[in-house]
Amino acid sequence: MIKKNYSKMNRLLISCLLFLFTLFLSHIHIPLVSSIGLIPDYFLALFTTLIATRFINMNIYIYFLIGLIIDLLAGELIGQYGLVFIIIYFTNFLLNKFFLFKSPIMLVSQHMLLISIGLIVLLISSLNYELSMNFNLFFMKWIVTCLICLLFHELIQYLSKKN
Amino acid sequence: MKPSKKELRLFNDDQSPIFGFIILILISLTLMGLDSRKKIHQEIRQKSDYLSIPITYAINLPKNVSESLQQLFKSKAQLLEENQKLENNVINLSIENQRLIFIEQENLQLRKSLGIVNNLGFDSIGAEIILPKVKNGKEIIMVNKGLNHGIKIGQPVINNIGLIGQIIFVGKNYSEINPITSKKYIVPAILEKATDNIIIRGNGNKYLEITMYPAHRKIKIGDILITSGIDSIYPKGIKIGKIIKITPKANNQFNHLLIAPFSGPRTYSQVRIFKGSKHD
Repeated sequence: MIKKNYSKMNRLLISCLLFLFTLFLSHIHIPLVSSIGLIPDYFLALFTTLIATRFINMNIYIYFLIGLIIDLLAGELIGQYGLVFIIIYFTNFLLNKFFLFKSPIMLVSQHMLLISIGLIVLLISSLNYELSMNFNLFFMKWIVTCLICLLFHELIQYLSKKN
Repeated sequence: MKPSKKELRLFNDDQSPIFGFIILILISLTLMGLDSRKKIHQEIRQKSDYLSIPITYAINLPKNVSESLQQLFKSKAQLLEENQKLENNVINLSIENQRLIFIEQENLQLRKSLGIVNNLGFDSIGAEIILPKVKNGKEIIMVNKGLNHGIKIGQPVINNIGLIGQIIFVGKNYSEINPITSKKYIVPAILEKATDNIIIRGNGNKYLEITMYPAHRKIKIGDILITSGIDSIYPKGIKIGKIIKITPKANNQFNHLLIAPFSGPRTYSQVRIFKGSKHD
């Protein structure tokens, strides 16, 4: 019992560290990325992984609160990330109800689907939303965010095994 | 043996979050609606300013350390060379200043004789650009002056090259600037050699644009655009950018103009924030 609690604390600590690292990443401009639209959504990538892998067992209300904190620290509208996280959480719940994600291809598909939903909700609820948007740039952003999400997934899997 | 109802739930034993989901959807939509109308985000961020101070400090730390080290290890020869350059600059600027003082006096006398009110005087404050330049995938410019220095939302920001942007958020000791190339940015302008009033907007990708400019109006590549001042926010005559591409629209009645701003994101480290007209 004590061991289980210790593991839970460790996971919570790792998640907090990953959150701080993501917060730091979201404030850095990588010189190689020429267009600002190509910068991935680090928060979406991290929390999609955390929700999909169930790294920390948190309920929908806590994810909503975390979303509000992100909105406060780096967002443009209060409630935007909260909305995205609860939609991802619920979609993931429905997916897990009907599918068993075991093989790597299924896991990648799961992450990509959740990222797509998250990015679309972010785009629709954005203050800059335009009908004449650049879809190529949006597609590139989706690819980069998916890659970052898979990186986070690998990192979390590695840390889980170590735990 | 017949399996129980609980055993039939194959992959997910969690309780359905549907009730919480609906409640939270309603809360988040309400919050977003309130925020877009009442701007509660700005107020909460101003009050919880201390949360972002450690992030700003951590991001600026490597830059500050390297600058301090550079200052520490500068040789005497380098300092003398720098001093020489600055002295030359001072001489050039004082010559330019004499010419400007003469022009200002002449302008003042002409305004008096024609009875035109002088509305060109503006109070301004200098500020230094600090990191970060990006915030969650959105380009921003951050400066080290805030509420404590009398900065307010909406004030225009310029440097010696041209217009840079407008203040969109003010913390106690820092402010965020929306750059002119941002999609959220709009500024009224005129051509330097004409009187047509135009609205220019950022295209979100290093340039500005005029989406519908009448095709019968004379315009050419290289024409310079300046602020018109009709909005009473921007002083008149600040350089914005020059036209680099003219593309006819499908109906040939309008042109799409692409404008390269004079002040790019890497062409400055010091800026001036206009605090308002001297007559206010």
